[in-house]
Amino acid sequence: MSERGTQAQSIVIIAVILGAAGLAFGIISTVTLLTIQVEECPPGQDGQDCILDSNMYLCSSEDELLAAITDIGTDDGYIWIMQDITLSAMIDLNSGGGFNHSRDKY
Amino acid sequence: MGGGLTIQGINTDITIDVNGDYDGFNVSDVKTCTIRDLTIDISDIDTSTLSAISVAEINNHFVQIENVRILGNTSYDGRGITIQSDNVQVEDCHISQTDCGIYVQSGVSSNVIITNNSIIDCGGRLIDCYGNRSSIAGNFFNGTQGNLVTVLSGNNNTFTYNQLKGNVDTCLWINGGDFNSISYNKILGTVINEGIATNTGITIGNDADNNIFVGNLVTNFKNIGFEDGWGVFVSEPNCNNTYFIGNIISDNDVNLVDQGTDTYIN
Repeated sequence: MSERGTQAQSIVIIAVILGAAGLAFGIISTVTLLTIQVEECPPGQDGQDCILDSNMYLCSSEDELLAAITDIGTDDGYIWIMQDITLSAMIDLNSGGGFNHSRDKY
Repeated sequence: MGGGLTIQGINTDITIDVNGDYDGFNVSDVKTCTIRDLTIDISDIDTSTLSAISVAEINNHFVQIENVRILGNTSYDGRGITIQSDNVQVEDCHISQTDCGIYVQSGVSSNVIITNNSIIDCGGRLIDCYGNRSSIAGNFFNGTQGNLVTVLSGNNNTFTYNQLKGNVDTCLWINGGDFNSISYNKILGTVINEGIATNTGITIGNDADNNIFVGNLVTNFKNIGFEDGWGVFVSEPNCNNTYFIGNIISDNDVNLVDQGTDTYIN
């Protein structure tokens, strides 16, 4: 094999190695982000139903609705109902006394 | 005003099915709260005092109910909305086939705003307002079950630009409230064939004082073959200082029956 052929083969090998490394990095990054997303979702929701770093919740069941209300607590929150939901009991919108000091504020 | 909790459907066909004899939502302690763009099915409620949405916000924080459809069934049980705190707004909602449409409780509910709603075909009163300083405007009320259509029992309420239709009994009953302003409403009756004792546009009930009526249309309260239909009925001598200014009260069997004291008509 000529010297030029050896150089070309080396370049291809390096490119393959870099490509594989990039692909691996991308996969690892994606998995990491998905893992973080799942971990930060409120209880009762799957990873696709919450939006990171916001107080917006997409709810498709009674359990998800209750979980979102609990997770919002005394914060601000926006709940989208994505599909029909059947309630097995009353939904109580009650922060548990979190606002009982603030009558004159609003 | 912003923040707080919002619960919203992605469209108004999204239905919350209250699958038993309990309230749907109870708003009891929130920073602010908005419920909008939903349908709530309360056909499984059996108790007349339970509601699709009950608002009893402990600190009287602002609660808004907007573009919500509340549907019962022909058993006419449950209320559409019960209001037991101040500063509640109900707008662009549709309520039908419940018992009472909207109930505003006495002594705990002021500054309630009820605008541009359609409340039809309820088994009981379409709106029953015992609150004070409330505004009820631009609504459509159609009573089909022979009951009182709207009742004002509190004081200093305004009732304007509403359209009321009823097939029996009274379309608007001032139930002992004082200083209420009722203006520019269309109150349309029905010709009743027989056997119905009451068919009245407006009744000013026991001990209602200083209420003013301006620019209202009250028409077509007629009975055939029984007692007369009445346009306006000032019912008791202890109804003092009722003012009628610029109203059109016409085409009723009897347009005005005045048993009050110091009724002013211009």
